[in-house]
Amino acid sequence: MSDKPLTVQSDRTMLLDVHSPDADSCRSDIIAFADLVKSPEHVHTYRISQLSLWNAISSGLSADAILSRLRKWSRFDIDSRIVFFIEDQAERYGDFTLTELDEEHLLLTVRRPVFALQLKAEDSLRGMLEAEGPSSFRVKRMMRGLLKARMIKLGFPVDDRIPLKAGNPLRIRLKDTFTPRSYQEDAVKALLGDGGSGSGYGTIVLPCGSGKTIVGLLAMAALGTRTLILCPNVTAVHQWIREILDKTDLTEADVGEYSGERKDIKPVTVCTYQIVTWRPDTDSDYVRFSLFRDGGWGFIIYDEVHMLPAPVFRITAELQAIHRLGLTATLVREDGREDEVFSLVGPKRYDTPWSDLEKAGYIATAYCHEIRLPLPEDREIEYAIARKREKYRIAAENPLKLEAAEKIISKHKDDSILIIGQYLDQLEAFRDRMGYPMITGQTPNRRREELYSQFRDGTIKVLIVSKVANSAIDLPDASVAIQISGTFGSRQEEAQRLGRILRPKDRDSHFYTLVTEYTEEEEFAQNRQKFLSEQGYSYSIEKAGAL
Amino acid sequence: MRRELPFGMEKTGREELASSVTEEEGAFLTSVFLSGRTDAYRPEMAENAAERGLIYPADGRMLLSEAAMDTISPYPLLGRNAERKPYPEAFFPALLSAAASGALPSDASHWKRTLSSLIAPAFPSAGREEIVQSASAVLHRFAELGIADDDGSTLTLDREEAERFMALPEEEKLALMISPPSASSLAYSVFLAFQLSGVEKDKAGECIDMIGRITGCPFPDRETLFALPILAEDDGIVSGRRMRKGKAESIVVSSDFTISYEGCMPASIYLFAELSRCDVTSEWRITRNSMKAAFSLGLTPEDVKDTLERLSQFPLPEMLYPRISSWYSSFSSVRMERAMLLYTDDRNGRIVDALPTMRMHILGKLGENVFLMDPTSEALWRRALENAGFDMLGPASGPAFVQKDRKISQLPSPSSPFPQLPEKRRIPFARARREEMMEGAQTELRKALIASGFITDADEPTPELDEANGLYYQEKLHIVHSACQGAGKLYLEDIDGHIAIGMAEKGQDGDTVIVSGRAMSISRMWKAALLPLGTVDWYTFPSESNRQNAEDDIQSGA
Repeated sequence: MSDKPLTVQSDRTMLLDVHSPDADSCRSDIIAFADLVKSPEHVHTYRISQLSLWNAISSGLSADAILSRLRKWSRFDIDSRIVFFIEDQAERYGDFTLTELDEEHLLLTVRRPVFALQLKAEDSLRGMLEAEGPSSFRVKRMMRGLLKARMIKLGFPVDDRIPLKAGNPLRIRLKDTFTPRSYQEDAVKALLGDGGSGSGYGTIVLPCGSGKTIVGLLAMAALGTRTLILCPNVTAVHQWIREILDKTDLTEADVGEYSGERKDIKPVTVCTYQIVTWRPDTDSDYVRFSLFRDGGWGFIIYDEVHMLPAPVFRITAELQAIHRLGLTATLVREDGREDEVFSLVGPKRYDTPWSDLEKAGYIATAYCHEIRLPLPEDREIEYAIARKREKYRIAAENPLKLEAAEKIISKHKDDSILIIGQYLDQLEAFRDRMGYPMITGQTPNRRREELYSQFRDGTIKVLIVSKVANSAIDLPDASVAIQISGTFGSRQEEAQRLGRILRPKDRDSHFYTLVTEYTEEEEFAQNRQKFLSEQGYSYSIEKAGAL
Repeated sequence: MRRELPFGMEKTGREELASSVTEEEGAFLTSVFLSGRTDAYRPEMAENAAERGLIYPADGRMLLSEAAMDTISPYPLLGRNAERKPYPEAFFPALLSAAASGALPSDASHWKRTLSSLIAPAFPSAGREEIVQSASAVLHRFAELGIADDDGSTLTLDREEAERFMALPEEEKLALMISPPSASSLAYSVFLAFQLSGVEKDKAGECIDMIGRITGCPFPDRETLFALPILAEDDGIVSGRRMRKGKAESIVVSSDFTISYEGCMPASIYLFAELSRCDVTSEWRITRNSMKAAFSLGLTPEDVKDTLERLSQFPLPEMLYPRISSWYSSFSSVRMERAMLLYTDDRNGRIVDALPTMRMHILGKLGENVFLMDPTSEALWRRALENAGFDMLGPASGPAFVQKDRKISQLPSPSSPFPQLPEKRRIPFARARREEMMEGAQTELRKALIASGFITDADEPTPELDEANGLYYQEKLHIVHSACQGAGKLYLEDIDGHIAIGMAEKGQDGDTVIVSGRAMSISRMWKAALLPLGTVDWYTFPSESNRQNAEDDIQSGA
């Protein structure tokens, strides 16, 4: 045994001892071919997957280089199965190559004719391949993404040698009023790589509040091309536009909003997922998908890519010739479609433990509190006889939460506070009792903007919000969040909500989650906390009476 | 170490002696070291070793001299040192943990499914099938030994028995799974089976039998060694699994409630956590369910905290104790206890209430005349009632409690540590040096003595033999006669230049002696002498290029 920081296990997970003096160097060596699985305070877990290896190999890393990095950092000898796996996967990469053929088609070449037979026998590829020779197929251009995604699922990685298109050029200069942080620059470098055929598309995972928008802007400036930005809601659209105008030399004439409110298409266009997936009825085509095809885009940014709706997956599969960037803090999809994000938008190119950024002061230090309240006596029987789903709601809407929230607010007189909840009735009860303004899905956009802006400038100190504010809302001064109810056990929602208060500021942030003790809510709360616990966040458990 | 040769030469030189021990002899010496006996090998091996001062008898056992100790190693006795599959250290704890959490149904036909979803994924280095097979076999044994009890729907853990079981060395645990009555002595066989390495599958049986001869406790069947995680086969090569020695010194407890450590489990973590993975590092997780199991076994949040604090490399995550405590208050907010109801009429109710002999058995009262009685002391309070005059007391009505038939375990206590074998012999067999010495040897006698390990150094002179000159027939006859009596091996050189060394046997006529199966005429003998019994057999004729001797046999490992 030695003092090296890495333990490589036979299930292809790797444990990094973060207390080792070499932990940082080791991390930067392995991140290129392994995914960060979790990063609690002592030991971080990474995993080498087929996809992570192929992505590393496609961006120019060889099996030997990967193995020598592992040997350099590993405390024990590398299990022979790991060596075999890495060499085998590297060997497989290149069995299938995709190159240009003609205007309409691409050419898929297989290394040995037997692979061609294998592909022909696959049901999921039927109709996508037309035989061109004994070991090559014609593929329609628009099938490029789908074919690659399906072949990856089958374990056949495609070496896509067709360089991305440059798109219509657009000169974008960053203003010198801000300095990008090193991790933001690193993330963009990881995305753009050497500019070869295996780079220029990917997903970047950074915590909320760490400046993902800046990463987008840096990439835009580096690529210098017409850009389409997709966001989850109109507030986020406005935020992007505000940031672009603030931090680049682009003017309003260059930046368009394509939303329910306006339909401008300009060299940089920011739109919502909802607007592009609109269709007159469920049998119609997605009429607005032409926006993707006709804009002369050289770059598409998918903000909060964990929220990417299914139809956008489909159109993204067609857009494989364009540079793509997915941005998210929590690539935990409760529907388990992370893999599709990776194969269609692009592989995870950069990921950093939240705790590292917190230590460096790039995101606020946050304390999480789980406040336990009893269920009032008059609700106990109702709860006991309710069905499972109803039980959760009864516990979540515990009226004692009102009093607890008031106590918390009184403890944080100088903070900007968000009260976040799931159920409208509950939120309304809070509004009626406390008198603070409220934003829900029904609040018109203009009113939302107004309230957000008053919150930002400090006119409003407490804002009650529904799940519309779960993500993509930039409220830099919020330092306290009180979660009064949530979507069952959603880990992603919990992390996103914490994310609302992570912008660095001169004070620490506090995240309170109110939980009714001895009820279903306890268990859901624990599941919700899983992602954050894995990021090294620790919840203190306090009784409401002790507040 | 001094060694004495019958022809009067004495020599000290442990290094030379050890390096002259061939691999076959090394295997023999290892076997003697492990068993204290020589009967697993040909008698000549023992004779030679004794004459060279490598082994000696003491207290009814054969012991090894210091020089011989330098030559022992499990290889090649138990195979060749090959890459081994790791032993799944968390195998037993994982099963105990599963039993504690009530995840294992009573019905053994459902185990396979449960085990392959619950246990197997935690052992990525072992095959799923192998783990499921081993685990099923072990669960049957757990039930037999009372480590796990069957409550009619699921298996439950008997904590006391489980803790006794876990205190045993791993070899003894496995021996207990193979054959409980002979577990203590079989543990030594299991220990040696773990040392098997790189043996071809069709020769593995011989090695396993050899282990039985060494320890005196053979395995009831060979297949069990594969069914349990002791031996593993890979591409037709069989090896024992690699077991790490010593328990982990510390653990890491993270805020996501995972507990990780390298090596063997350092404490009874299995009582309150469930296994997520067992590999180079093992990882367990504390969950609501695992804590429910722990509380059911009588553990408190303090017990868990104390155990973790004692071992943890870093301070425990702040939320761990509050979380466990809150689970505990949920657990203890409603609890069950078995009791019996005793109904009386008003008058007798007052009497029962007043009887001092009944007081300790009354758990509570449900009304004036309804008593909650302790079912475990039913016999005692029945007698107390009878003594007080209630001799008409009938049997209790209602369904009977399932009385747990407590098995007093016959688990052996931890045995003394097994002998430690060095992975490689301290002084390796100097084959090249021996070959060089053989090449340089001028006489066949010297070659034979080199091959037999009596001459270990090129500078060492060939000993002068106390030989009979061919001219003196009576002397020759005397030597031949002594050799035939077993005094030593016979060295013969005839007038044609034939040389033979071997055990002597009288031939049919008075002039013939048979040496190593070859008839030789005493009258044609030029030289005769007695050599130590441990000298290898030798036969050579100057014109024959292909000499036949025991050296060839040794080279080929026969």
